[in-house]
Amino acid sequence: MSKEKYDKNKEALELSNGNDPLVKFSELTGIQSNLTSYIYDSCSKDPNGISEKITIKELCEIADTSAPSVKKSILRLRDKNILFKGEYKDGRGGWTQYVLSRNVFDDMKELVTVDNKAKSSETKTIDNAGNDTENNSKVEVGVESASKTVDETPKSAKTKAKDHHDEHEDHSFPNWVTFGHTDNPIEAFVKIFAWLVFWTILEVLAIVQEFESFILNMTILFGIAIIKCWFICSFFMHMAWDPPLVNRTAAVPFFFLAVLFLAIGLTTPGAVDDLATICGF
Amino acid sequence: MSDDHEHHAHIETPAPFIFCIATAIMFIGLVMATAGGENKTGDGGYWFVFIMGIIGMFTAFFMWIQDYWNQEGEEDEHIETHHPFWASISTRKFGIWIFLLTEVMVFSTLLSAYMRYRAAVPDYSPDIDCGLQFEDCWVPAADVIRSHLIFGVINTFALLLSSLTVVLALYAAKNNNPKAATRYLMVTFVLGTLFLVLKLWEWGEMKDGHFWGEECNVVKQDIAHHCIAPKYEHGFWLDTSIEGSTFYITTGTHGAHVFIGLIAILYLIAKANKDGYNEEYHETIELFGLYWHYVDLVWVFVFPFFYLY
Repeated sequence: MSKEKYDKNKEALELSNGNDPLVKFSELTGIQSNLTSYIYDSCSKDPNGISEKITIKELCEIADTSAPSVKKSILRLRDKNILFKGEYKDGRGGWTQYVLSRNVFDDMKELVTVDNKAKSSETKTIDNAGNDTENNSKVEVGVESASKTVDETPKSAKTKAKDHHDEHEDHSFPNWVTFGHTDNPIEAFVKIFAWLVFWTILEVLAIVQEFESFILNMTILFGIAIIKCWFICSFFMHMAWDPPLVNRTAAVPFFFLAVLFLAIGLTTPGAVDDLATICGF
Repeated sequence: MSDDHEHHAHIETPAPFIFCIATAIMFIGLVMATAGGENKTGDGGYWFVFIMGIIGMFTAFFMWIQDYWNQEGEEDEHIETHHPFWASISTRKFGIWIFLLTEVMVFSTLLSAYMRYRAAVPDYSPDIDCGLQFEDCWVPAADVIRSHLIFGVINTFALLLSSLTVVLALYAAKNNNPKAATRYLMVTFVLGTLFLVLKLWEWGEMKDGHFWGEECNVVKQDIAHHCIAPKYEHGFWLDTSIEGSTFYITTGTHGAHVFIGLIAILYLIAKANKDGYNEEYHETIELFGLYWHYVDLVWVFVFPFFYLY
């Protein structure tokens, strides 16, 4: 290892200790989470916490995605101070060594330890209840299971985070909207579209009937428009699943809408329309 | 592996600001050129201001595209705050919501103006004196369109379906299926184009008075059976009556939003072909989807109040 190359890894280690990550590991999702888990495994084999030489091909296989996507994710992880780049080789057969943020590394290590302990106690309980003659083989199973947990722990954290963020998979549709329970978001969205078509046909048919009553016509038109609006906002615009910030932001114009439609739109020509008269001057 | 040459995800571009200023200049020029001057009949000199605004808009638009074109990732910075409530969505998503709020005000203004004008004039009825040309009564665009309502209905379904395809594009991207995402975006583009083509054709037919049937004529004046009012004898256009003004301004503003949406879809399709949207990078589709659903939402109100009643 040349002096220059050594310095790059050393520099990465210094950065990993001196810069706090902008997000926690549990907040990472998708490709970023997969890559971090993989790099953690590699770093944990080295006493200094420096990863092995990792190629882009390896990362593509782990994340099951294209090289540009992997590169982008690595860049994002570096932006978030989760990952620091050490020694690398450019061009054909290129590779890179990484260092994880010290905080992230410790968090992940703790996750693995907790899971290991949980698994070990589970295995012990099974062992105690079991036959003595089978003890040896069960201990082996226990060790195997614990080592499996070490590999799987980052993935379960990843899945948890992904579940938290993936709106379509996490948030179910009301049963009455989808005519019964469905786990397929595409099917659910097609049913939302079917609802919108249904309401459109209904409003056209209602108007073709040419009801005499103005109030009845307005009730039908406004009523159906508001129902369609609810379907679009709730499901197509994700407002049913968005955080409160979105819904409260969207509620802001209602005050102005009330002013526009009630104070302007529905006034008659004879109504008071100048500020001085309204204020009683 | 080296990512030294990768582009940094955060781009600072003056393009949106320039675009806003240019848009303001364009509108000032348009208003003054058509309704400015001493007699409020328009000041031709302001067409220059209008053209300068248009040039500014195009320049800023291409600057914007150029700045983002080579960006490999997406900005996902959260709102900087000490309170988690404000950091629950990305800054870009919050930004698009604020933009949509302003859009709500634009269309609310148009719809409330329509209601105000309509409330000021009695609706046509054979029982009241509407004047020789029916000039004292409100003869809605819906009566002009009624015999060809099917095109409005097709347009409604096209927009609703395009909203679904945008959702499916986002879903495909989130599931690491960039090809499906691109295909859905292309379908959305086709549906949006269909909407605009039908709309333009419909406008042309109404302008030229082709919508009234052979059996209807000026003498018959049978509006109850959706024949044409005398005041629309030579067609129904922007300056024919207040009914025409409100109809074309509102549907025209909506059509302009669809057109802008189509430009945005073209960019998304090109970007999808270049980089591909996936599980990690799909926020742009989501933000565009919010805009497109909003355009759909506006149509949900425009359609019944201009095409049905």
